[in-house]
Amino acid sequence: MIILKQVFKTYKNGTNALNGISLTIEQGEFVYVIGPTGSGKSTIIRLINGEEVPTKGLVEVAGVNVGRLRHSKVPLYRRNLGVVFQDFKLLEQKTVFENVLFALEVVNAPTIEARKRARETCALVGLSDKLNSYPHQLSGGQQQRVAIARAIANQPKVLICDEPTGNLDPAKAKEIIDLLEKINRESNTTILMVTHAQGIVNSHRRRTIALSDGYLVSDLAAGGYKE
Amino acid sequence: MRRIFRHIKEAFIGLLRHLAMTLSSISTITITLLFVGLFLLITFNIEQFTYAVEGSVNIHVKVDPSFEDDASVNSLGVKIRALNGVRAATFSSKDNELDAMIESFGENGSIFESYRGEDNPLRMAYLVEIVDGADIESVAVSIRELEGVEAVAYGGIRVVELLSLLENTRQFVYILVAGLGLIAVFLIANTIKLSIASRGLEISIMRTVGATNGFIRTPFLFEGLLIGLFGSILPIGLIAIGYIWMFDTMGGQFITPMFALVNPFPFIYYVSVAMLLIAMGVGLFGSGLSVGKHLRWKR
Repeated sequence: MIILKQVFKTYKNGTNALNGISLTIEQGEFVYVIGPTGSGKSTIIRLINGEEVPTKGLVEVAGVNVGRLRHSKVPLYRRNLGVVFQDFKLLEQKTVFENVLFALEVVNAPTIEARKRARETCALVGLSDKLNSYPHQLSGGQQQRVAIARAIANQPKVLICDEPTGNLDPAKAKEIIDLLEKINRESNTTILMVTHAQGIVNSHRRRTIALSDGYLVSDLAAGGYKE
Repeated sequence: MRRIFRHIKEAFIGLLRHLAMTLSSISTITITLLFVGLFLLITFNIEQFTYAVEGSVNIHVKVDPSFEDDASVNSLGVKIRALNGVRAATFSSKDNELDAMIESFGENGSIFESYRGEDNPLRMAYLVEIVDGADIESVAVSIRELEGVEAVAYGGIRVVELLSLLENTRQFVYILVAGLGLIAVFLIANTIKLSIASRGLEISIMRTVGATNGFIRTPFLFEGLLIGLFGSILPIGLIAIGYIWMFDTMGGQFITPMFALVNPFPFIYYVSVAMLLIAMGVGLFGSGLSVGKHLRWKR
């Protein structure tokens, strides 16, 4: 599903963000990407979602060579991905239902199907009773559920989660990981989760890739956070 | 179609979100368009006046009595017609001249009837039509220098001066329109810039979930179009009603019957459509500038 082969990334300011990273993630895998600030985690996300192109090497997602993708093809490619952010990025003036529906509307999904799909997705993340609530009326955990619902509304093949529990207390963080595991299990969605949360990585053990200074320093199938 | 309605809805939301900027952009369009309308009215009327004047600015050339034989008169006609700026030269006999004189005196003209025949003291003449009213003076000088010409007279110099005044007014309005148009474009571009900035989160989410760049840009272009549309309503109304009122009040003429004003129908419809298109064009151009700068295609 995701293949990185000898990927180097040097930004215009001369920063070497990635130095020869190679890894393969299969369809349906749940993978943590850990590492200190500046280790290259965010660069991997940006390469996968097509925001950046590798300086050298291959980035392939769902059979698409992302680095060589033409600009005009990037939006269509992104419909294969869902992204969840640490700060939720919800539209405050829209209800829960409208926030989820928004992701479907802007890719021109037919109205009736889009509304049905938005309702189903909200139910999947346990927000059926909050459809008409606005983000400010929800807890942090609930807001992140909305963000997840929006990210999976288009039924993406890959779900990228950038520190999804960073703003949540441990109990809410656990609920979110449980939800992501459920999505991974039920829809076979590949999940790539960037995190600093040692507790989560150790309690919900999954394949864990550790980065440091742009190098891949460990790739443990058994998971767990090693200092 | 559903997509277009969505874009228009989003454009309205954007306009309402920055009501103050929207209103200032609309006001600028309104003022600009008032002058555009004025410019169009003046331009088309000047064109009509010029057309009327061109047919009436003639030079009256009196033939010297010692050159009244057929050969000399014909030769003079050929020389006049050969001059630059002369469209036509029509010979007028002494009798024709007397007729014209009698006619110009109206009811009292008949007293000149006694001069008809051998006693006619008038001169043979050529009525010279010129190509461009502005050249009347130089053409008259050239004719005066020809052999066999006794005198040259022309009316219409005032008319030419008036036309030149109107032309200057038109050019002044033109410069005003260009300046105001630039301000309108600048204000619209700024309104759209604010709109784009306030929707930063929405735009980033749209990009993340795979909305195309065209889809992201279109509502902002519609915003510009709507600013133009709303800005054009008042000036189109004022110009149309104002022109019809002026036409009726002035009896369809400007100062003299020679300057017949362009009939308001269908003229005013054309002017209105032109104003609407210009307003929407300026709106689209302003928003296009902002969209091009702040929503540049990136990955």
